[in-house]
Amino acid sequence: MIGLASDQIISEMAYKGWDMELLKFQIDSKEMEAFEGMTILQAAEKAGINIPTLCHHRDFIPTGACRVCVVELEGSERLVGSCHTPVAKGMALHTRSPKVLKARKATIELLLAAHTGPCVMDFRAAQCDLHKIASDLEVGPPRFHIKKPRFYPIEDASPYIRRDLSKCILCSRCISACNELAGKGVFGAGYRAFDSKVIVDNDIPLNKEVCKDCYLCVEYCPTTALSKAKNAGDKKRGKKMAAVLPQPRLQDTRCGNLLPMLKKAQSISRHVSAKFMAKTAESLNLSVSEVFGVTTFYSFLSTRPLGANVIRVCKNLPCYLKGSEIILKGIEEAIGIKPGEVTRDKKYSLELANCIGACDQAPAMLINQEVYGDLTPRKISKILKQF
Amino acid sequence: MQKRIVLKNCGLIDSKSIDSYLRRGGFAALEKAQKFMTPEQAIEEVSASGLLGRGGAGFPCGLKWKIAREQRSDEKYIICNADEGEVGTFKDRYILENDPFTLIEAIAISGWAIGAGKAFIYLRAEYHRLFDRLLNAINQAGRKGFLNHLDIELREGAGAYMCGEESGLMNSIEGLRGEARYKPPFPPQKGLWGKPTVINNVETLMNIPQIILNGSSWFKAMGTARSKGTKVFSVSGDVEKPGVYELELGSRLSELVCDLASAREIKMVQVGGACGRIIPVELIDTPLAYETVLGSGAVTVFNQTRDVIDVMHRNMKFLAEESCGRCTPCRDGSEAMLEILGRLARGEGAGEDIGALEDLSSVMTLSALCGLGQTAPMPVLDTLKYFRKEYESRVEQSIFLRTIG
Ligand SMILES: Cc1cc2nc3c(=O)[nH]c(=O)nc-3n(C[C@H](O)[C@H](O)[C@H](O)COP(=O)(O)O)c2cc1C
Ligand code: FES
Repeated sequence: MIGLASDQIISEMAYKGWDMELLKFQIDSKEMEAFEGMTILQAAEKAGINIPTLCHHRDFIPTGACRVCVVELEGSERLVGSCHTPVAKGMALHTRSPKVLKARKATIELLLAAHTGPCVMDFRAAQCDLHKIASDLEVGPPRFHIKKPRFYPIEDASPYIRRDLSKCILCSRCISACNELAGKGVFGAGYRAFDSKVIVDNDIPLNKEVCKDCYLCVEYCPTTALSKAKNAGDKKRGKKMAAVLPQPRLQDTRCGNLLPMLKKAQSISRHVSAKFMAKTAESLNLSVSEVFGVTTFYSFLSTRPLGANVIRVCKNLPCYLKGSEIILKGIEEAIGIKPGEVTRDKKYSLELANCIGACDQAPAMLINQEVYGDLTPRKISKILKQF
Repeated sequence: MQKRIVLKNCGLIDSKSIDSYLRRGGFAALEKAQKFMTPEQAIEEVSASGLLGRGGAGFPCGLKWKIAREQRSDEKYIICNADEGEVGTFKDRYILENDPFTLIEAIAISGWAIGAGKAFIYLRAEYHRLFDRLLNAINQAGRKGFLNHLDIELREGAGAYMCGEESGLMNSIEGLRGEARYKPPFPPQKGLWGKPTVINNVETLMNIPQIILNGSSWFKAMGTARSKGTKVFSVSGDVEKPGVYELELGSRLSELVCDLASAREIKMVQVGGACGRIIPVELIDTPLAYETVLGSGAVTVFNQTRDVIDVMHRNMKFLAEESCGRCTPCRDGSEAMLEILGRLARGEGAGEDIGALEDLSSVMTLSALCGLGQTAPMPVLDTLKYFRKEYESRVEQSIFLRTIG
């Protein structure tokens, strides 16, 4: 078992005598007592009740990402995450009610469906916590099908670590291990929605330069996405392991300047360049992957150069009802490109936008900062002539 | 009938000149509060008015302020949420265009009431053209000495619906990815940079000056048992007169879409945007209130020619694209729902699709980390309730297509 951080924090708090109160509550009809500040998961552990977890690890600050550890709280319509919700006086909790089991199973099925297997063929699947929990919960083949699950080529350029992100379930434990324990910040979260990905720097394959041999991430990976490279030495753990308490990255309030800086770069050079991201990371004391992660989260920031004029055609329902598709077609014909492309003369970029708040003038679009509404095919050429 | 309380000054003042606002009694509420009330009394007045949040979640405004006021902290923040990313919502834009001064006055009052020295206005990038107008309003108010107790900073988003959700918004201001944070702790306890933070929607704040000036009983006299005051609606879709309308809470949906916006041959109405509820035409007389349907006040009308499944597919596309990607049910559940709806829309559905939609809706509603994932399935669930036949016949058609193919 690695570390005991959270328990240590709790007992430290008790020791310091911060206004800690002994709270009475119920888990699975068992009467319990715990200190204020304890999470439901910790209290359950104390009572010998096992709640499955994937993204959580006691060495890290909880992220609440995987939603496997949800439990039922009487009086609450929704389930609550046990790894991050503190116990409160009078709570009545159920860790294995039908509602909980149904939701937990569905979450596991989603994780199975969203990554690229088939892991049954993988002899290492036995080491995978996801498969263990799936078999504990008797989850069969997932009912939900995702046609294009997340798939990435295997990264084996590093002499130390092999990354197979097709097996990644986005628990972000490697990010925590690298940031909070190793203090290196090699990994970060990039992109968003279904395309979310654990990235290295500007989303480059993991290689020797960026990552050395502490192997902490491998130890914390709950699946087989991270493993030691074949020829890696058998050195077990990095030096940084001495520091057991996680170090939340001291957030520099200057980080608040990051988004304005990225926006400025975007408006000046029509994109956020790799060079700019590296420079900014250094000046704000962030890792490159963090800056890249923020950049790729926002749809108005682009890592590839856009055209001098960015046309954003709204595609949401209010505009769609008023014929946005005809408008889009008209623009595609007028400038000869599809959404996501840039004209050869770099004059225009065409993008599809989500509601730009001009639904009273639907169909509408933004060109740079201005709104053009009540569009008709005839209006398009007139508007484009102004540029 | 419209009742213009929030929009009282819109169209009647010059949004670029504070003097025109002062001539209409501007900043009298701030003066009254600071001269004749304690912060606690002001908060009590807001609480007593029954004002609920207008951004979608409907949390009692006064309670939020009270919690933040009671926290011991060297710093507190107030954030005005002007991200307005909900599909079909444009009322905050209309307010910012026409009456930025009332908003500044309201922020000044709230900052004073909770004891915040710093305020942020988070403006969506799509409204960049309003940035200078807002900045001008802040500067003019500052020069007149109305902001001596409060520094107001304008921040801008960069295209992310999730940054309208309060935790995503705070992450964005802090320079992080606009991902959801779990609650508790709630923002009034631990918000921006871990400090007590009150986040309010533009329209919620717009009500404050008049509640201070006219008192809570004046405000409480409007609306229903639980929904006090008025609501500003953004009407779009299959209507002749799309636009912004302000009505007393409890007014009927039919009054808004039929009488005011002139909708005809309605099939259904979506109230509250992409995560909102679907009202079939049979229920068109539903009152608009927190007890029934409201959300952000986005009202999109669909006429008889519209295909429910096509509409749901496009709606889910938005939500799946805008999921922050942090939690499993929302990130992967919305993708799975999108695929099913896409298959149905193309006539490639299967018998188990309807059940799968229901199961996915259930796990998202129960387990997702934030309001986006929790409410994303609502329109699908509502259409499954009111238009189930259309789903079923699409499945049958799909099966038929496969047998002849
Ligand atoms: C996905 C999502 C998007 C949201 N977008 C907005 C928004 O654009 N503007 C807004 O005021 N509230 C938005 N909210 C609601 C906020 O989280 C928050 O409840 C609100 O700003 C609080 O202000 P109020 O109490 O004055 O309504 C959103 C919520 C969710 C879940
Ligand atoms: S849907 Fe196009 S502007 Fe709102």
